[in-house]
Formats: sequence, C-alpha cells, structure tokens
Amino acid sequence: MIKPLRRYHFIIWRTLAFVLPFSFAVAIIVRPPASEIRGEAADAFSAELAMLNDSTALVTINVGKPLATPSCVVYYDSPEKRTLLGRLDHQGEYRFRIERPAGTVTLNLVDVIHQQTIRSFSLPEH
Amino acid sequence: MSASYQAILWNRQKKIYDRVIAAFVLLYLVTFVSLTVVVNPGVTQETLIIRSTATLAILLLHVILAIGPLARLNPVFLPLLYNRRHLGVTMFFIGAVHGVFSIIQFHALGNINPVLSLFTSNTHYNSLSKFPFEVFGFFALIIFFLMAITSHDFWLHNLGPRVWKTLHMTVYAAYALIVLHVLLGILQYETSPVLATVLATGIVTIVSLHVLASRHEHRFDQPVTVGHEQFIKACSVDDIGEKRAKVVHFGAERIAIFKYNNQVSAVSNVCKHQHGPLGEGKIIDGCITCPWHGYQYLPHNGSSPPPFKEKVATYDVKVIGRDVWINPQAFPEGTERTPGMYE
Repeated sequence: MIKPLRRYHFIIWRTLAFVLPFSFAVAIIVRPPASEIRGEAADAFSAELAMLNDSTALVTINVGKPLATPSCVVYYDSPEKRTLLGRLDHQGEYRFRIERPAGTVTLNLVDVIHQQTIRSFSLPEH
Repeated sequence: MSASYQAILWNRQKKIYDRVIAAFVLLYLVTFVSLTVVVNPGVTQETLIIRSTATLAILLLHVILAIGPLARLNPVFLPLLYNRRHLGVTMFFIGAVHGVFSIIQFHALGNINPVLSLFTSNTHYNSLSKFPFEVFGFFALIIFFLMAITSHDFWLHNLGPRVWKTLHMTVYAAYALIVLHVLLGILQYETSPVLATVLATGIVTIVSLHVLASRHEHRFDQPVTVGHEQFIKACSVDDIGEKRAKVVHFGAERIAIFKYNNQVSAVSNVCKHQHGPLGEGKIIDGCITCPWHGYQYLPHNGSSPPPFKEKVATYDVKVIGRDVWINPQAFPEGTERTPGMYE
C-alpha cells in the first residue's frame, strides 16, 4: 500500500472499530423478546398489507409451514368482485401488488380442488 | 509482469491453494447440511442452501479480511496473501448463490419484479428491528461482484494499481454492510445466543487485527523533513540481513535499502504490481523479489529484468564506515545508481 491508502485504511478501521460494536449493541437492544420471535414462527399463514403509493398496495403472505392441501390460491375479495391474485405452492413469502383499497382488504386462501376456504384474512388499511 | 497475455498464470502454489479452498468449501457444506438435517429434520432444501451459503460466505469473508493484517504483522502468513483473490472470487460466488436463492425464495413468488420487491416489500425503513436488512446484503453483493470481475491482472494493469487498490478497499464497506445485514436480519429472529456470539467474535477479531496492523504501519509513516541533496544517516549495514532490506521513511514514501554482496542499494518500497512492500521481500537470483506476488527488480537500477518492463524509483546511497547514508531525493524510475560499497 502507498501512503495515502495506508492513511485511508487507518481512518476506515478506526471508524469501524467504533461503528461495528455500536451497531451490534443497538441490534441486540432492539431485538424483539424471544417469546415474540417463537410466536411468529409457529403460525402457518400470516398476511400483511402495505400501501406503496396513492394507487398501489402490497399484499404479503407468508407460508410458514408446508401446505397440507393439494392446492391453494389467493383471492382478493371486495364487495364488488373477487380477484384472483395467484397460487401458493410451498413455504415462502408471496407478494402481490393490488390497487390501493378504499378500506379493509379481505383475502381468502382457497383449496380449489376441494372448494374449501383454508384461511381468511381481514387486513385493515393503515 | 507478463510480457504477453495469459488468462491465468497457473503455478503449483496456485493449484494447491485452489484445491485447499475447494476441499474446505465442500467439507463445510457437507458438514453444515448433515448437522442441520440431524438437528432439524423438517428443514427444506431452499433453507439449507440459503443458510449454508450465507454462513460459509461470511466465514470466508472473515478469513479474507484477516489475511492482510496477519501478513503485515507476521510474514509467516504471507503465503496466504499470494492468491487471496482466488479466495475472494470463491466467496463472491458462494454469496451470489445465497443472494439468488434468497431472492427466489422470498421475492420471486407473486406478481412483483423480484428485485423491486426486495426494496419495496418491507417498507419499515424507519424501524431498526424490522428494517429491510436484505438491502444491505444486496449492496454488499454488488461490491463483491465488482471486486470479483476485476480480480485479474488485466484490470489491475488497465485501472492502475492505485484505482484498483482503492476499488478493492471498498471491501471494508461491504464488510460493514454484511454485518448490518446479519444484525438487522437473522439476529432479530434468532433465539439462540450462538450466532450472536460467533458474529461478535468475528467482528472483534477483524477490527482488532486491522487496528493493530494500521497502528504498526502508522509508526513508520512519520516523515522526516530534509534539505535538497542531503544525505541522511539511515542505519548501520549490520542492521540489514544479507539479501534483505531495511525500510526507512525520509520523504513522501518509504525506501527499501537492500544489502547484497558487500553492496547496498536503495529503491522505492512500493512494488509496481499491487503496491506490495518490496522491503519485506528478499533478493533472489540477484533480483529484489516482492513478497506479495514475486515481481522482481534489479537492486542497482530498480528495473525488472528483461523482458519485463516494470520500474521503481532509485536513490543515492553510500556507506561510511559501517553507516549507511541515503539521499531521500528519488531518481526517476529505472535510473541506475552506483551501489554503496563496504568491507
């Protein structure tokens, strides 16, 4: 290394020697309680609604356990119509963009082979 | 130092280095997968891939970051430095597997562009515990990608050692991003203290090594002001080992004073290849040999032996009694200077 780079190296690591331990301490402090962490992981399905902008919202569905039904599709139901958002195949986080709703969003997870509703969510607009 | 282009200058050491890396990677992945399947039989293949590659990439990143300061503090570690870029490229590929599988698993399902989803699916940018930590990993992977594709002498030659080295020093920013990626990601959802303990140990080790090495280097960077054409007493010839050098700092950059065959010559301490410390090398076959990658220079004129074309600055040096005196005014690179003689 040449002298200017040695100086940058010196400054960078002096800074990181402060920043990294500080970040570590903050991350430990803000960590949710263990009971809360376990509770979230135990649920098979969870859903969230987030507004992206004036016209668009985002629906996130988390499938936390392997599906027990042969099929699972997601419908976004409003008083006027039912909209098919997509299919859930296996564990993971699924995200669907929808038009920004006027009020509460109702989602239905349906086993189309048995024509049964597996789970319903009512997601209020934040 | 190549006279003509060859994609990779393979030698025995590089092959051994790469085989050791490949064996370690394979051993780690097999061990991680086996232990995880035993402890948690319900784990999915996607989770296994994501977690095994994540932990392996972070482990390799710590090893890579430790090699530099270890080699500065103790030359025993220099062989690890020679082909460090192979380790870096391996780490990038493993990190890329982690990144791609994570995006597929968490963002490619649904009707949103996966990369767009990575930035917009979690909008808790004002929360620490729910912060979209994947963003940190994404930007770190971009840095690793730039480093991996420029980890070749073609780019070193075309960018120049200073730009190339500066680009590759962004690995420190990438390391900070990776630490944040873990701290605000998995650590927020992990109840076992093992991960936090291992990460804390890694951070403390890397930061301590770099601070120690930079402090060690900083001691030599206190310049001494001298007048024009003035000789300064640098050391005694007895302070220098045969075919070795003593590094002194009397001007803008360090000077390496080499002793060989009852002669003393001085050249810039900075190798033309990757700015390696020539003064920590030795004279092999009559040539100063850089300890980092073996680039060679003739001690009396600072030029690489033909057909190679690299040159470093030279200095006037003389020996009075047993004392070595040096003029810190550098001559143009490759200028022949008469060596100082002693009995």
